[in-house]
Amino acid sequence: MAEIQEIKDSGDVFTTLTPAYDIQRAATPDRVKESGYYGLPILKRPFWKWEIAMYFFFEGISAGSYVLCTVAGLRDRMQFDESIRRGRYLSFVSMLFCPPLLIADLGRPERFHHMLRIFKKTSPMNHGAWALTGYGIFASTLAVLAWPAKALPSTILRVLLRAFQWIMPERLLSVLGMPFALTMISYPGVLLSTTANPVWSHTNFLGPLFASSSLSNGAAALALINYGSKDHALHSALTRFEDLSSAGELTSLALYVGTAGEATKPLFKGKQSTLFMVGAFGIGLIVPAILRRSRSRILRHGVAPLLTLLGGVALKWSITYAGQESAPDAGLASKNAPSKTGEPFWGPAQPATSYPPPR
Amino acid sequence: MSTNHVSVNLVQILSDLQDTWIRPQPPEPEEETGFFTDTTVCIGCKACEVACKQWNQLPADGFNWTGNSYDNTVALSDTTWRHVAFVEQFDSESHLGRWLMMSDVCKHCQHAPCVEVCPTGALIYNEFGNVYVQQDVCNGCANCVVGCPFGVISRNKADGRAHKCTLCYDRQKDGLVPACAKSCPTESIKFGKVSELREHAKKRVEELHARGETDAYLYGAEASGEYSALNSFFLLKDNAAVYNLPERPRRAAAHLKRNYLFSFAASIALTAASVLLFKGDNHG
Repeated sequence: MAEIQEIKDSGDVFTTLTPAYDIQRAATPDRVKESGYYGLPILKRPFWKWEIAMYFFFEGISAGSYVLCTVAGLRDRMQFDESIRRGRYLSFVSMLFCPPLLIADLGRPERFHHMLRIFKKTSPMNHGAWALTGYGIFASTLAVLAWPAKALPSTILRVLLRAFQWIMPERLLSVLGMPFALTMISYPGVLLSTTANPVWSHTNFLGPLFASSSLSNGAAALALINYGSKDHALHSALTRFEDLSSAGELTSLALYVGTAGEATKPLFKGKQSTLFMVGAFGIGLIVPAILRRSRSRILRHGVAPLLTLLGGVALKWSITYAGQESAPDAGLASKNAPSKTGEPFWGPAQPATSYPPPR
Repeated sequence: MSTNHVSVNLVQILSDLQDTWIRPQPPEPEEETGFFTDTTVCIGCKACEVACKQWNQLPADGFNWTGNSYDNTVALSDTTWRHVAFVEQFDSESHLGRWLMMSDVCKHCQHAPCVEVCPTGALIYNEFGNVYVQQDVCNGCANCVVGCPFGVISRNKADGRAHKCTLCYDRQKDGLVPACAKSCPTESIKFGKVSELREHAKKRVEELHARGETDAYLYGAEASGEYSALNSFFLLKDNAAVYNLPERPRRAAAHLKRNYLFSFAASIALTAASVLLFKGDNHG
């Protein structure tokens, strides 16, 4: 397998033009004997990097906390009133990070609205663009509805805000926003899975993994911003939800590694391995699960959720970047689609070792 | 800037914005066209590479010497739409060598993953059934780059958009043969109607088999596994990976439903569970 070094040389104009230049430079005489075509990659490396990893993180917090606040609001509006208010601000503020990150990632940022030209059944990114648009409207409106009118500086604004809050049915709106929020939670893993990149695609469980991580991050962020609150019902609900979502995350993780098998190699070996094993698994899942059982309030409602959030970044970052190392693996890229027989779709399974002499 | 200028600019911006959603009537569909690349007659002259670069005004890729074969182009990319692979093989028993040469190109898949994942609709099948990037629509999201199982399409670092073989759409519109096929001195690259090319290719394989070249086969002439047929398909003589083609290309959209099902099941189950957890003091 060819190791592809990224080349950024301002003195060489060609490195500023095509991303395939790195692949060209990886073709060297000492690779003559390597398997496949001189050990060169079949696939191109993904362009999705830190912007996308951080987007997955922020949208997870935002949509995750939105869902939990909506559920809490439907169960007992009075009890959780103050926590829901803070939760709505949290969903709104973390949602604000999303569009800039996505737009910055584009090759042509000024054309970001082209995502909304069409609705496309087969494109998860298109679904995501629509979901974020819809979700953004609901998250913003609910943040405005949660804002205390008396905090506004002028009388006219106060009256206008009160009238708006009186007209808008808050609970109905929060429920109407749920399909968008649940799509925001569910689609990122699917976006990565429906590609040709082996570490992302050789599984059906990246979606559940990202979804449970997002919900767990939402709960952790809610616990943190309500740290000072004396609302025991909220804290106990969030702690128990953390246990559930972590169990979901662990199960998805096991199923992911189990089904993708060899393709998950970049997560256990190479640049992302420490971040994945220590960060996402150890610090993000195991340590908080222990701390949640501690008697200390700081450890239970402060440190544990903080570590869960760090684990969320580590998980999404390491899996996004694992795509960089998985793409050049020509062996996996060649046997990319599942097959019961293991036979190639076309042609012989093995390279020819001998060939008849010409007649 | 005067108020007049501002209003003119605003009108310009608004009309540009409106253009995004206006879709003119597409041309009437015609019979599908494609390439049949017969690698047994390829002599590795790279005339196709040169003709492609010239006609499509593609920039150079640098002065690169691989030292592992006559192939210094190495891979298809945003700026290289035809690439000739050179495979040198030696039989240790007979001490004979053979040389496999293949002019690689975009496969113009009948169900193309790049088209399926493209969120803007920039990637389309044009009236000739060719996979085509509409450069005025593409916003460089790079989803097609990870979608393509052949590593064909890539995003240009300088202009930020995805580029690949257009199957010389501009030449086809004027009734001309694509530049690579036109320049090919041995007719290794054949351009034409896909239905006719498939007939021709089958006959060619039979002919080769009759001559004792029993390893000849068609790569992509028909759908197989989860993958569709390719409108630009190949006659090969060895395992696909030898030519840097995937043995089993992955079609992303074939896995979409199941992925969504599992993902939504997880998020809805956790949400439903949270309903049981959030209960106020007055619920006991």
